[in-house]
Amino acid sequence: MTDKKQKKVDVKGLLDRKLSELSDDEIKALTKPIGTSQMPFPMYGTLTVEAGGSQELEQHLTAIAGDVPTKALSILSERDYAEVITLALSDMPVPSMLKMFEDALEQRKPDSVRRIQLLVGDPGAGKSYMSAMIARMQRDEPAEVLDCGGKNMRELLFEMVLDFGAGEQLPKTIDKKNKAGALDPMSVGLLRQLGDIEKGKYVKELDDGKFEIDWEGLSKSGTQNVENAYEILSKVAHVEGIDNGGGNALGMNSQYGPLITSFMKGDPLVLDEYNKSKEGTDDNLQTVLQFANGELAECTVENPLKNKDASSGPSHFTFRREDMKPGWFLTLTGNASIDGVTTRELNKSVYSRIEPQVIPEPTLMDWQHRICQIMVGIPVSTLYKTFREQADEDPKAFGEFLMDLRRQKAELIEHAPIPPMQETLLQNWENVNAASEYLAKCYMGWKDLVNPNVGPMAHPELHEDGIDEEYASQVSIDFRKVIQHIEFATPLRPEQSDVGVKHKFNKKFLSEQPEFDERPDEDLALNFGKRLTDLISRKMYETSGARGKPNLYRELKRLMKESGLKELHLQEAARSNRKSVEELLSISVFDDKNPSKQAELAQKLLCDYLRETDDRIAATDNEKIVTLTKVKQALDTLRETDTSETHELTVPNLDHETLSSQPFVAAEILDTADESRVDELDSKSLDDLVTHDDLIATLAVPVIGEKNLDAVWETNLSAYLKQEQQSTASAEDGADPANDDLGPMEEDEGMNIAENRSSTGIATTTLVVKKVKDGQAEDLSVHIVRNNDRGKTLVVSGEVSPRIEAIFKEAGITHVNRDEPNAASRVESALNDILRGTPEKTKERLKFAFLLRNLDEENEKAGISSEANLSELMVNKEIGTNAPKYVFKK
Amino acid sequence: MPSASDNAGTGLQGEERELAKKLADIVAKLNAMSEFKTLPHGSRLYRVAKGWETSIIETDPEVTTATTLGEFEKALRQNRGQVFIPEDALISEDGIEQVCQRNGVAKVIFKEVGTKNE
Repeated sequence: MTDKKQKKVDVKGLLDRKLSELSDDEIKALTKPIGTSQMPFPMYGTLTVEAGGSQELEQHLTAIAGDVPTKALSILSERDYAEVITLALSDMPVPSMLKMFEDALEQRKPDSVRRIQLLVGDPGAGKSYMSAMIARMQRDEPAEVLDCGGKNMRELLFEMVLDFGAGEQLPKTIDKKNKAGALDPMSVGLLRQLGDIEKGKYVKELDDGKFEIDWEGLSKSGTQNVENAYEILSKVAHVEGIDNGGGNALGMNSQYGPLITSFMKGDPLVLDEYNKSKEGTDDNLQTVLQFANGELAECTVENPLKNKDASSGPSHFTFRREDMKPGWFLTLTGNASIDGVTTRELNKSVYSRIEPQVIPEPTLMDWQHRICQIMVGIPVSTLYKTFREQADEDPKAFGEFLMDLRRQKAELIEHAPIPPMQETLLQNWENVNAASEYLAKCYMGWKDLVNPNVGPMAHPELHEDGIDEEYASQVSIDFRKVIQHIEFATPLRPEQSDVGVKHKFNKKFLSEQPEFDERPDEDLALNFGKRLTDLISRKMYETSGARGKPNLYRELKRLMKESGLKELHLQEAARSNRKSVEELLSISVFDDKNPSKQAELAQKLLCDYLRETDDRIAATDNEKIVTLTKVKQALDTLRETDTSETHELTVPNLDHETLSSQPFVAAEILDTADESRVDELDSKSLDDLVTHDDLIATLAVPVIGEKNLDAVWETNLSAYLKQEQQSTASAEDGADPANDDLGPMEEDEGMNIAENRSSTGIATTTLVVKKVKDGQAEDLSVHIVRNNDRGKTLVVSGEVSPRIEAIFKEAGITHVNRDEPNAASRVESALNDILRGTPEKTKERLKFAFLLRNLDEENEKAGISSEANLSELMVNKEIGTNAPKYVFKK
Repeated sequence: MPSASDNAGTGLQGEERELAKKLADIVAKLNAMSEFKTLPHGSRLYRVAKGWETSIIETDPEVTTATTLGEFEKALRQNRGQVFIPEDALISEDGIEQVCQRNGVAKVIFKEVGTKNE
């Protein structure tokens, strides 16, 4: 009997061996598939499609999903399959570069003799990134990326280096003295001289007078620099007394350059900015390029540095096909734009040997792909487009797939936790996908508008703004700008207040240091969308309107609106229920739609509240207060209830006897505008009212908050006021709250807002609850303003605990305590935010709606004028309540 | 047997203590992952205000501390873990970028700074 089980081959170290020495089993063990039917890999390219009975060529994003090795992509790698596929899927190049990625993998196959790729594209397009990423797919080691800018290309073969000896004692000793600030002043002067080499690229004096020394860079900085550095460092060694031989030897040596060493080690080498290298220095590379290209099977190069300045070193090197190792690969990258100063055309023989692959201008799909990678670490949009059908059918499963991929990247590749904001955003992958599309449109349009060859062609008035090459070079938009914007918008930063918000000084704090609030910092993802879109719109203004380019600014504003950055066209928003980028990327933990997660959060909030308000509840284990199962059951029942019909509210159950079996109880609204129920008031007392804190606490609880807000609007007011008007028809002015300036249309719309029927999504109402202070109960108005389309709510009432206020923020609710000193300013700011994007007159109509419930005859006597600002009216605790809506325990 | 110092100040012993330390490592890193700079090839440099988070990160066995550019480059070339750069290191952000540019690797780097937004 033969053992059919294949013997497991240890792949570690196999890439160090020559290809010709590897067995079939070893090659097989090294081969990691990418793009199989089990795990297809996205691919963008030209395909034949049927169009109206004929065949057309079009470019599409589909996938490679091969079942046999020749039909799938693969790479020889010492890494595990999970690591390889994680890197390939998460750090995948943009769709326009996927064909180049495919070519790069094909050329790295064991039987390929062509081992070179020339990528040409704009800065930041991802040329060296792709090559380094493929290298990382092969080994968990960094790929060497050599900046060829201004370099002598002959030194790729043989280079003069500083030789610090085996123990590198000289750099270590200088570093030690440098760190301790114990260098001789003369050495300090000499190190400053070293700093003159390439303008401080290798040695830089820091603010504290110490030096940052890039020994590795300096030792390989080119023959001329090495000779200068040798001379200076010899003096430093002498001054510091470390030139007495032993381990402190300093020398110069000619050795194999990076191209030869990469071949010997079997490592990939990226020659970045190749067309910025010193002109005329790559002549002797031609035969090596022919070897890398597969034209020659062998080539020998001589060392011109041999015996120069008495240095030792190899005299020549021979590249032989049979010596080639699986990982060796040469990537040349170059900038697409030729400026003739630092960037030049490549030697024609280079072009004839290696056909350059030109990275096209990024498409919308490319922008979206990179934006997703920058925001969450994986290209959500490209993966979604590839698996669209399955993702649409089961968004939850697709979300789990994305999260697993991100977790694998964190664990296997980054060896670090997922940044918390990335995790929150990824849990809302649909938002990320939608927002990335809007952002892609915005950045792409912005790039075109400031491009003198594109923007002024489409909008001739931009000529008047002077959109020229010089301006374009200062403000051009590329992927790097996206990175900068996301970097800046991620952390919390001080915020400048809105225009119109009033501030008060207090001379006490000229001498006394103010105390910061003890409220916890808000979650980074809570207002990320706002921070990002604020930054983009600010940058747009600062680079156009603020620089005397009004036409450009007008176009950029139009672009912002069209690409849904901060607000959508109203009709569009209403039609499609779509959200702006600001809303899509401002994510709170309360947005989690998973019922189990919602129940967990509700249990936590309820128990925290009970512990805070009831001294008798001391258990730290939430399960001992009320079980998760019971909370989940309560939420499930509530989900099925249409509270906009029942007008029933849900509040915490404070009864210890029944709490564990029934965590929440019902409360009812008794609206005095409903004539049929006014009599019920006779049987109620102040004690029967629900407390302010009980009501407020529930507004932040998942499901309950939403259902309670649905419950508080009814249509009693219009009937009530009609009746009032009829009964006072003969009277002169009556108590009509209507502002004289408002026409019938505004009044109608005001009523719509008061009854939550407005097409703007804005609604307001006032509830009456009780507040117990020092054992005395009194009634208290709770004003609510809601933007249904944007899920934003303002609640103006009494004091709440800092913890509840922090929870409110997370839930997208702004709470203002009308007793705090700057209450009116905070309400004004919140109203501005809630009303943003609504028609101009909405604020007036909102005030009208507010006064429908809150204007009574007593107000005027109390000196409250309906002419006052809405924000001032809302924080005025003297304001009366016309037709109050009481919230009673049931 | 745990030493006397094992539970000093914490009341925790053995596995519990190890678990608490692991949790603290994660929390410290998560807290630190806010203000960042994207470096060549996808490394991320997180700027962390000096405080309890940096003290914990520095002592995490998964993290290599670098005080000079040479040490930083060596740490980058190590297969696993993150890199921590203390406030008094002879390493500037330009230097970090230069070294990351020639080493095609994506690492998580924590740099201690005096205050946030510095």
